[in-house]
Amino acid sequence: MIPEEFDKLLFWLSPDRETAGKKYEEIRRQLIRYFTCWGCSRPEDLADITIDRVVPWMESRGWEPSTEPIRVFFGFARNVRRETNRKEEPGPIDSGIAQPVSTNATPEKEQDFACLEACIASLSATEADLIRHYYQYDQADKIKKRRELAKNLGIGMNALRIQAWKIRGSLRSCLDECVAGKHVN
Amino acid sequence: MNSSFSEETTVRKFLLGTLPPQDCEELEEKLFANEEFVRLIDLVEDEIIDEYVDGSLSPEDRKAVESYFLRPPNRQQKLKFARMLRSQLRENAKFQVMPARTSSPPRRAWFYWTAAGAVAAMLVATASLTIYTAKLRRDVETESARNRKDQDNLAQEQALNATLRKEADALRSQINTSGSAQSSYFTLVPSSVLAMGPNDLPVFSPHPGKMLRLKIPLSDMPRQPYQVSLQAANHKELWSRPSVKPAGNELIVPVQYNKWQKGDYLVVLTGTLGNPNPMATYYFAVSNPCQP
Repeated sequence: MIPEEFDKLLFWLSPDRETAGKKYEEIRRQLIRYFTCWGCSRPEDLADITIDRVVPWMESRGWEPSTEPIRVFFGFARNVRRETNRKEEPGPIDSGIAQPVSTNATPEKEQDFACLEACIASLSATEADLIRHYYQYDQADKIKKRRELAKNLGIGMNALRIQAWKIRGSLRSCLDECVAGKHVN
Repeated sequence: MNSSFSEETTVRKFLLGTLPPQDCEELEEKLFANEEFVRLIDLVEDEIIDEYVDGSLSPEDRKAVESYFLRPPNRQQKLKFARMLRSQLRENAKFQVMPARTSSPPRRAWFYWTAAGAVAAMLVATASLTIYTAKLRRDVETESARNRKDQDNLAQEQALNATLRKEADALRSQINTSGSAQSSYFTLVPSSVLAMGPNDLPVFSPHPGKMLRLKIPLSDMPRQPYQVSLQAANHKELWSRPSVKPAGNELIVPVQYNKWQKGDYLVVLTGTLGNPNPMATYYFAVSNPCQP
């Protein structure tokens, strides 16, 4: 996509450049999620391919205004996904991914763990306790102990799952930012 | 997030690539139109990864995870995160359990005294029983049975005592080690508590391959986030972290600094809530780094 086309695309999303930029990022994020849900191995590339296909099509239609631009992208994403699924047969992933992380310490791992520990330390005491107890057990014990935890907290199992999911999400974002150097000098 | 069990089951199959194609296409439209549904997808995705990590997936689902679900790189990142989180939380839990179990000497003393009292009582009972039997020579069988029972109880108490002693020794040895294979904990002392002499500084011995985790007691300082700054004796900043929240009465700070040299160091806490002035300083010394 050449810069002029990109500008047109942004203008189509919104006449305000900043709003258009945010809409573009949101659409790209949704496309990546779509291809991820379909188990595609290159979701980001496929999102970009989709956007590249939308641009000439919209150009041919004179950038006709749309109240729901995401619907246009979705139509193209579906085609891209069908083409890709035909090429991408299920097969074993890289065996390194399936193996548990090696316990050998490397500076990168140390940094990751240091960041994660700092992120856990930044949780409220209640959140830290919840997530610590949530992950204390595996397999059969896990279900029993999580029931006990939910009972102690006075909430249902579903509410407990959702709370753990939210805490996990905030820890993951914190870790990403920390590892990227935003929080660590 | 209100989802029915059947909806979750369908989402799970969709994510594992085991849902029939026609059902998938109905479902995929929701990905662009329904935020609630997107959150459900994210939750179920996380839980599949958790079950994969803890080994509770069925063999079919495990195969689907390895051949299909984990193809996207961001799911591989989630898997890596799930493993790290589990490992870190369990390490923290081990560390937190230790002081709780070892910081209760009154309870242990009570137990020892109770056990000792019980032993003494048993001995007195046994002696009385023997005298009583010798004197009266009556109901010998009944008394012998009681005696045997008392001796069994005594043996049990003694065995319990021995177990407790072993457990206490093991815990004492764990406390002295104070840290895991990956890290070592070092507790700072507020400067107000230190006597004014160079030999009074707490001494930290860096160990290659182990990361330092500082435990900074907050004493009577406000429980609020602090900026933590590690400085050399000449006040040159070596490392800092902008916002560390307290865990109980202390801050626990993993320190990403490994160029330790013998000498004096200080840690300065600065408030992050509108107060840019240093609020506390902690001094410590570093001895010669240990050789690997």
